[in-house]
Amino acid sequence: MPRVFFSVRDRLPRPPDEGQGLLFHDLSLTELIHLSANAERPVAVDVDSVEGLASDSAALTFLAERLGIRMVITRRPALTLRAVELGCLPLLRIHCLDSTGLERALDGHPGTPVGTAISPGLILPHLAERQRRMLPEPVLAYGLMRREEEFEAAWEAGAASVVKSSAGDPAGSGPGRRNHRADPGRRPSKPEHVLDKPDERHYKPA
Amino acid sequence: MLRGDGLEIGSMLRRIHSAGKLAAVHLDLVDGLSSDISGVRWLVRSGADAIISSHSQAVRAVKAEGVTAIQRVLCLSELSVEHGMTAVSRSQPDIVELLPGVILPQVADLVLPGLAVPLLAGGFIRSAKDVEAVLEAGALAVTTTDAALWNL
Repeated sequence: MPRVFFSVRDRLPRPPDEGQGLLFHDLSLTELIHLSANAERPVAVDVDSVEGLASDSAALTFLAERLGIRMVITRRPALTLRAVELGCLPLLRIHCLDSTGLERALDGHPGTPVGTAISPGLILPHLAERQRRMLPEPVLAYGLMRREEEFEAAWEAGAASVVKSSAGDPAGSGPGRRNHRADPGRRPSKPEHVLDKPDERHYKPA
Repeated sequence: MLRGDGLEIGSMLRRIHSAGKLAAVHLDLVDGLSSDISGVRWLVRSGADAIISSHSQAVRAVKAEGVTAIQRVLCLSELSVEHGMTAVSRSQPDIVELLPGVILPQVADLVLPGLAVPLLAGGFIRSAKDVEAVLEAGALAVTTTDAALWNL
């Protein structure tokens, strides 16, 4: 697994940095097909966020067998097991909002060989040592990672890999920042009523 | 109150009030209630002083009932922050609560511009140092289940 994945929503970073993977998320199925065909480096897909793609077994089979994707991220434990059967490295995405929610989400984690995508990635260094040890490896720090010191802190805290936000470093001019700003009118990748109702019930204490 | 039986919450709220405290109840997390106007009315009738939800529609209903409305913004990615803030500007809660709160210093530039109401921060705040950093970054208060931090 590359130490860095570049977050891709609309276009490939040019020129792509050596040694980076690409993580496709929050884009449409046709965009995904087009962009992944030209990626020429390790590609991961956040399955749940691809518009037009269901989070199910048929979708995974298509990604693995037709697009040659070898790494997938999903919030569905059952899907991660299907990914293992297809020869992919699956990462279970864990929404990490508070301690109670984290521990509850980890109850549903199948464990190795399924790794963990922790969101937001920024939270990893803030977890207690005990909580970090509970995360099945490899761990990907995914979400809101913009600054070099944030990547360093995540690696230090045990991340195998980090996702560099397409928004880039707020203090600098990351390659993706310009792209992000150039398209302010981009529609939400899911219908608004879905985004407006984040599901917190999954981590409700028992 | 982030858990428990929303239908049987009245006696708990009376105990909190008799201890001289106010109670905020998370509509989406208590059992037995749906996050809609009827769920909101039930909590108001049960004595909740404030109601927390991530749903714009519920937040608007809370405001219409005349109790304090707290809307949660979940910080998972740039996109979720963006949509959370859009939802906030639509429903205009009295207070916003950001989760996970401990990262506020790192995402303040995405959240604070355009935010016109007080901000709470909750989630993975584990030390007095965390509390200080989060308040310094612009939160009015922190929310925590860690009783050791309640009397700072």
